[in-house]
Amino acid sequence: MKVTLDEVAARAGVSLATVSRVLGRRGAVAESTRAKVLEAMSELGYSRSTLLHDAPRRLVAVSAPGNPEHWQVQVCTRVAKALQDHDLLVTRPLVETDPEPLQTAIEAGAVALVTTTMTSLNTEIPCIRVAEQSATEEVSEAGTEVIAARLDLGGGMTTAFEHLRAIGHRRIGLICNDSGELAVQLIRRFLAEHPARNLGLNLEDWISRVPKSFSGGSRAVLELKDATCTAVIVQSALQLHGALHGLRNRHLQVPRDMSVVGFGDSPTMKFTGPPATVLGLDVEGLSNALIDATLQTLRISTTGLPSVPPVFRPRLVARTSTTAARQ
Amino acid sequence: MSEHLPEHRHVRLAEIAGTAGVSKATASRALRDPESVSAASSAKVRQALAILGAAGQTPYAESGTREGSGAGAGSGAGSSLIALIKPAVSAGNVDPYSRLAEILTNRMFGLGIAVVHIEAIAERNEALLETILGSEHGGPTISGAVVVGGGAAGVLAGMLAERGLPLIRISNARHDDGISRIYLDATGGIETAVAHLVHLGHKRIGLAVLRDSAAPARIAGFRRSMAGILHIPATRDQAPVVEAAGGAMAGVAAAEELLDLRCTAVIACAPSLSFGMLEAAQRLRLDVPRDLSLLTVGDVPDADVVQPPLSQVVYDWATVAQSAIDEIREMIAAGDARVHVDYTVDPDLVLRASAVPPQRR
Repeated sequence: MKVTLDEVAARAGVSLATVSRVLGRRGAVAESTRAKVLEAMSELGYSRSTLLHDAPRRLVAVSAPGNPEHWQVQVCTRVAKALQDHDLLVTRPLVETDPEPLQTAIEAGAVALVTTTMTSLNTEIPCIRVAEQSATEEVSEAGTEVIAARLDLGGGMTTAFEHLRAIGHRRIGLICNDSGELAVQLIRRFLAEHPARNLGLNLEDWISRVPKSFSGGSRAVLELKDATCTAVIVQSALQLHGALHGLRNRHLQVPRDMSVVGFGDSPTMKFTGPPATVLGLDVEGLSNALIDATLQTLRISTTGLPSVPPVFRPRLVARTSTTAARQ
Repeated sequence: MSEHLPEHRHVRLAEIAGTAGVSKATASRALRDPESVSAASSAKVRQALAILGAAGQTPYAESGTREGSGAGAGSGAGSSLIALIKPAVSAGNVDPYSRLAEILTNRMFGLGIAVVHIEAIAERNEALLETILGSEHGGPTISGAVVVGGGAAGVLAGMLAERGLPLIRISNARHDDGISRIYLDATGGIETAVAHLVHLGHKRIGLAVLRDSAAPARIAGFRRSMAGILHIPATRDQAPVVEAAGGAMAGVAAAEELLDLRCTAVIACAPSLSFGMLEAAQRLRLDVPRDLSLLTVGDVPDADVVQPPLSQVVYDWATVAQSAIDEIREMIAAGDARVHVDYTVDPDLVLRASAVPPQRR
């Protein structure tokens, strides 16, 4: 039975990062801690045959798309902090909207990319990312893509629809970005899970694809209002703020005249007018999945990944931007 | 004891082959003579070396990587990197410098400079110092640093300066540490804020500040402005001040304390405190701005889109970022002949809708 560093860390009661520092003789480790780790190694019979080496100094890119959502920034920050604890250098270029920053990072020596975007970026370096739960993407030829976690958008949509349907809404619209894999998947799940999908209506009329912007949101929500929607699900926080503003300008009241559900929580969602009901994501779980996959890819941890990446289903955080539909 | 340390200095061939997804024989040939294997295999092996951090470390890999591609896979020699150092922000807290860091990052990448992001944590600073400067362990070389904010980042800046790394700090407190700095002077902003609130008719104005090294200057500035503008003795009673720890909950506690003191307007000196104020107002069923006017010194995320849009005293981050980038590049280029810079930046008042004349109370 091979002894892993995780077991050594657990036995010594220290973190994995500390064990790798002791092994690599890098960074500051208190003498007492060092002794504890070495003792744990000899007790467990740790041998040098595992793949870990002296944690060379490497640069890793941790990236969110341009104009990122709050959850994407949060996940990136947590991942960056964890990688830094393993003595890796972190660079955070924006991706998706502009290829240049990532290219600069790769030229500077980035050996892997960790990203919260769902769009396949076709990088030459390994790309550790998130995907939609049921998305069947072909694994790129070079085998550089690692799916660390899957988002259950279908489940998230169902949750939102169930919430809105329970309070009497049928005419539910979707405001989403005009580009990006997340928007594509949201639309797919929207069409598949919509409560009115079997009523012979053209659901496309209730989908508004607009840029990820404030003005996009205001425009889209009024379009959907004119298409007689009584509730909308909004992909991006900027669009959500725009939608609330657009409705206010038209002297319409949220939630009386239009119920609004956002995607992704942030501290400001409590203070929108009115506080927004949102589908919240498990930021910590997502971050941990990305961190584990990254450490695995860089051969820092050797515990082995789950053969199926963990699935995260967004959860509804009910505030006051949704209410019963008026008959 | 130390000679029995299970240290690992070399990457094994099996490991390289495993990571690259080629056979050991192919890996071996690719390392010795890249011409003898297909271009694809050679690229895979080069990449595996980079992932394992072994580029240029294994004796025979050196020639292999260099010959294979002129661009050089992984080692990143030659390209310059600048570190962007910030104090780590605990989960759930609001980062007052997120906007500035974003602008700095995007501008530097725009100039083709790769940015290395460091989150300073007091108890990890020693290790971070080694990671930042330890290019002899492989990986890229960092040629300078922009340090934003104080706390652990300030301490790390001092350690890096001692080791001779070109540095520029952007911070809201002034220390005699001999490091070049752009000083964000909030006292002018606080004076503007007080003047604005007094002009609206407020007399009981409270100040909420974070308990950090910038607090004394801010409190003194506030008291001086109150005394000068309202012609009152700026005592604890007449010009109430609450010092709070970080985090939204501390903001709520500070807000409740100031509301107890019957303040009709509050100047919050950090975004977390502003969110605390909004939260406290919500809990007490007070309406901002009708029952309580709120001015923030600093950057509240989404300030323009929350309800009500928040009036702020903010810095021109784009200019601050550009100056910092220009200065650090000049300092790196100048080497030992670099000149010390010390700017002071005053903020501007951005009026939105969170401060109105006092209504009742």
